[in-house]
Amino acid sequence: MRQRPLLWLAPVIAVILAFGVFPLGYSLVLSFFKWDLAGESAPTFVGLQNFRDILLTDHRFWANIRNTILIVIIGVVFQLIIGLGTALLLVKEIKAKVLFRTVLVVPMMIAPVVVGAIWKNLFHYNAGPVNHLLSLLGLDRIDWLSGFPEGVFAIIIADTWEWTPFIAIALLAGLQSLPQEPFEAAQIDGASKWQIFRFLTLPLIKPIVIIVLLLRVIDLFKIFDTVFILTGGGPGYSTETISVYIYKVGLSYFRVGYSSALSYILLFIVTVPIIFLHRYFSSEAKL
Amino acid sequence: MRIFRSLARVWVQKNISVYIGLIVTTLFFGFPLYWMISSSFKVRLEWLISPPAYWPSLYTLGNYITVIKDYFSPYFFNSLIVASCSTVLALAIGSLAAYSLSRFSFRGSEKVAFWILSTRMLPPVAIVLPMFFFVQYLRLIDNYFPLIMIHTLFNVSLAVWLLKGFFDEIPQEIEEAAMVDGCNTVRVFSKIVIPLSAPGLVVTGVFCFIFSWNEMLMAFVLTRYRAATLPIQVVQLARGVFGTRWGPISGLTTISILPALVVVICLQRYLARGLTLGAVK
Amino acid sequence: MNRKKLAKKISVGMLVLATLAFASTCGWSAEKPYAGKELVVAVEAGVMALPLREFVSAWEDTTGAKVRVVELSTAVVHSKLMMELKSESGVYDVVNCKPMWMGDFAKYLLPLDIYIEKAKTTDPDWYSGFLPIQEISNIWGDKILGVQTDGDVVSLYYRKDLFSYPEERATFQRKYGYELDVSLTGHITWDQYLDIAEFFTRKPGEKLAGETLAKPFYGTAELGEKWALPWWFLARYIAYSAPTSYLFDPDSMEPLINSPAGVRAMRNFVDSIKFSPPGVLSYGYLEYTSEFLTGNLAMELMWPDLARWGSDPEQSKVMGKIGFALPPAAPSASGGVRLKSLMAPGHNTSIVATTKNPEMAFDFIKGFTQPDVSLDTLLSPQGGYDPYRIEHIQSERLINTVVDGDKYLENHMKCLRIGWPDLKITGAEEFYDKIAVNAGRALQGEISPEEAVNNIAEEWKEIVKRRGLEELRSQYRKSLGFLE
Repeated sequence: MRQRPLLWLAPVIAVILAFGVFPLGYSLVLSFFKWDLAGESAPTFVGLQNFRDILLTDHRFWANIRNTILIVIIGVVFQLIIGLGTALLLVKEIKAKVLFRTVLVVPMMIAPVVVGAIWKNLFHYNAGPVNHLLSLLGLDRIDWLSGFPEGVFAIIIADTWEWTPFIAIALLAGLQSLPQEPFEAAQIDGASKWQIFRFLTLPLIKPIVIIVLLLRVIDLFKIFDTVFILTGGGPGYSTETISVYIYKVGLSYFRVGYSSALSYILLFIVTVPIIFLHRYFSSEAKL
Repeated sequence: MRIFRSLARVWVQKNISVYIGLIVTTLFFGFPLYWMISSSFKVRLEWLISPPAYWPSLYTLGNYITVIKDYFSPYFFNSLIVASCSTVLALAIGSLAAYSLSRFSFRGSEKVAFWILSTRMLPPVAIVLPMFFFVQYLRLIDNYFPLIMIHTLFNVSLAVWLLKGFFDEIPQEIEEAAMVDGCNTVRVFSKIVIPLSAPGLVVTGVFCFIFSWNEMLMAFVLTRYRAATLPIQVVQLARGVFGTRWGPISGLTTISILPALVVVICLQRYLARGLTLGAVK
Repeated sequence: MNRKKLAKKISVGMLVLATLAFASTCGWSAEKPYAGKELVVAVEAGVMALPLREFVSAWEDTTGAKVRVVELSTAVVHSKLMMELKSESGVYDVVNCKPMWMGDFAKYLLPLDIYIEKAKTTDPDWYSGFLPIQEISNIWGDKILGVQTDGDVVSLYYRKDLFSYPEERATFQRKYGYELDVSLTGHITWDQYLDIAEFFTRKPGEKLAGETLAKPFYGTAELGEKWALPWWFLARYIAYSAPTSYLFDPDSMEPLINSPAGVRAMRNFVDSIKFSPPGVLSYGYLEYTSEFLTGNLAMELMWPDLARWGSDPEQSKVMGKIGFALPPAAPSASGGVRLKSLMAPGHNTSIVATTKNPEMAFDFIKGFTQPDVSLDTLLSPQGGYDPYRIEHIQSERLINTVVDGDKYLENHMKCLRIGWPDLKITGAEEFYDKIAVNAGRALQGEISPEEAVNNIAEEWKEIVKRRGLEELRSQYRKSLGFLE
């Protein structure tokens, strides 16, 4: 009997073409135009000028890059360390495991806007529990949402709260599916706990670590909702990320061409981790 | 010396350090939730006081009454409609594609699969502006349809990859036997594969639902009132307002996470798989 | 016979019922002209929306209409309304906006001239009762595009009890060489504002007005959230650059913001942050006012709401201690003083041109701005509406609500007389956004005040070029014409 694989794929491909590829193509065309919708001017073709302006003269863009890269690097490191630690704790045979795990997984199911709203309250200078805790510990209160770098750390903390559980749960699943024999053999051979972790556990869960890391890197590069609520990118543009800037240029200032060019730069940046991800997804190096 | 040694033994045997570590992490991850839920019962005077009101001195349902009266309808129902429709749609077209990728061998299937996956990585902000023009041109602003379709787009990659994994786990012998009996592919798919992978469909559907439920940017740009969803309302109340009212905001956010709580309680086993797009089984 | 009686009873009963039903339907159609119709009203969330909702439920009862209130966050309201108006989807019928947005929104709004003309004959007291701000804010081109629903003017609020405390006054005199008195000459200067702010900023353990402080006390506060930054900067700029207080050269549209006046204004703004509570850069309106109302500040620049909220024992710990003064001025080279008060932003309510029910929408706005109704909204304890009608500034109820109400109104009127209306040209929001971004950076110390105003000027030049110099110049000149 004849199989028609493409016929089965057609609806999905149609949706992606219509609602993903088509807007992207349109956006690519727009990125070569100077089009200021607020001023009601007609679009004029300017070639690569938008890209040149962004990369060479736009200080705000480079501040955004700085913020975004800080959020990606520090965020991922935090999340990986805490996530791996939590997973190693949860893999032990302990009581009340379900309770711990349940509390842990709630944050990642919550809408990022809600996460932003919760943490905006927690970070409040006077009435926020975070500063209250600091003052109880005898430390100075921190003005969390009033600029760089505190604001960027506030964003990282909120995102870490939401997404560390994701890493923990994924690694926990990885750890639980590991074969038992090598560990028993290592114990008989008298390997120390650290040796077992370093030379046995870690290599075995490496593929899964890399996949969750790449997923986090991609998500953090596009971080929008949390920043939008928590600081709105301000004061000035000290805590702004690229996504927030694209939104503002496009839908607050209505500089359509410039915004499209910016979004293509973001797309380009995100493509790098996606290529790495491709290697891992297609090499069947899964657990 | 002996006391210390025996204490150390108890420490190791009873996993005391593990418990301490877990309690600390649980506090970190649990406290903000507690804070939100308790804030939703606070009276106005305790919304923003220093030191913070960890235990509300007075519990009130007033915030929930405000939310239900002013901020609930139609946003809650819109969220339900958009999330349900986009979930059903993503499952419907996603399962067809997943079956094709799982069973039929054709050249470039790997590439197609990853191409579908890569839509998950697409920054929503990159398509929001062209999408706005597109929807405006079609005169469908503040309509459910474009929002449902875009959420379907974002969900379909997840649906395809998760379902492909579930389909792969179904032994092919059953289908082959059915084929021998004269069933065609469509019948095999609808009568055998779909019923057998029902749990997988439920899991996938729940993930799609939650994603759509939580999505903000597209809904923010494409809806105004009649199709506006709950996250929009959270933005409007929590972001730089003339007087941020934490009580009603906490009430609204508490209501909005209820679906998430249900998922967490019911589907813990599948969380890792869903969130890594099926990379972890 | 029983049957007959019963039949009679039933027929009488039915007759009564029918009459009642008839009467009620008649009454229905007479009294509830908009039964079954729906109106969508977009309004800024929080203090602007709460009193509106109170009015809405009353209006629904009398007219039979169903009014949907959509609250929009202050931070995104311009962007969201712009998206909506540009897409012309017609979802919102009535929008609550700021006069400064008139240039951006004008061509999507319904001209109200004919409706207002009609109302002048049927309800003569309604339109004649508006303060002049109605015409200043709402005429664009030669059309009336909105109805004023909130009249803002900025004035200085201070703690009478502290400013009149003899010991504090003596210490101040010794330290700064002049008398501590905001009302002596009717106003202080912005330099004195910094002196006073510095003077009253105390650490815990220090004494204030004879009492030992348990927590820090601050001289002043600045409303630092992004949407408000432009106004808190402009409050200074218009004083320093008075008497003209131009933002652009009316002939060439060259920005004047980086003039010496602009630099001094920005420097004053940046210096003032030292005497403000930490955290102000992320403060919203509620946090900002509550700092003053809970007794943590010596003075605060603020919209008129503060007096009403300060007279509400539920919100205020400084009831009866609030003094009212003109905003600070700037000394001029000739020795005189230059005084201006920011009349920004104010709110107006407009009808979107795509609405299907313009009559009903206009009735809604007219109902909302009726003398007695609008006074109710004005006096709503959690509301943010301020006097915009003659009835308001003459109102006994307002005087009785506010402690020292007569002084409050007197000060309010003085401020209105030196009022400076907001920039009203196309793209005003974008021009202001540049102030917000650069002032935000200067306040954190990322850039110097000079750099900040120079950046603003450079970015303004680019916007003027992009949006068309000629058009902006004619709009700007027109808006000044109302001033002179």
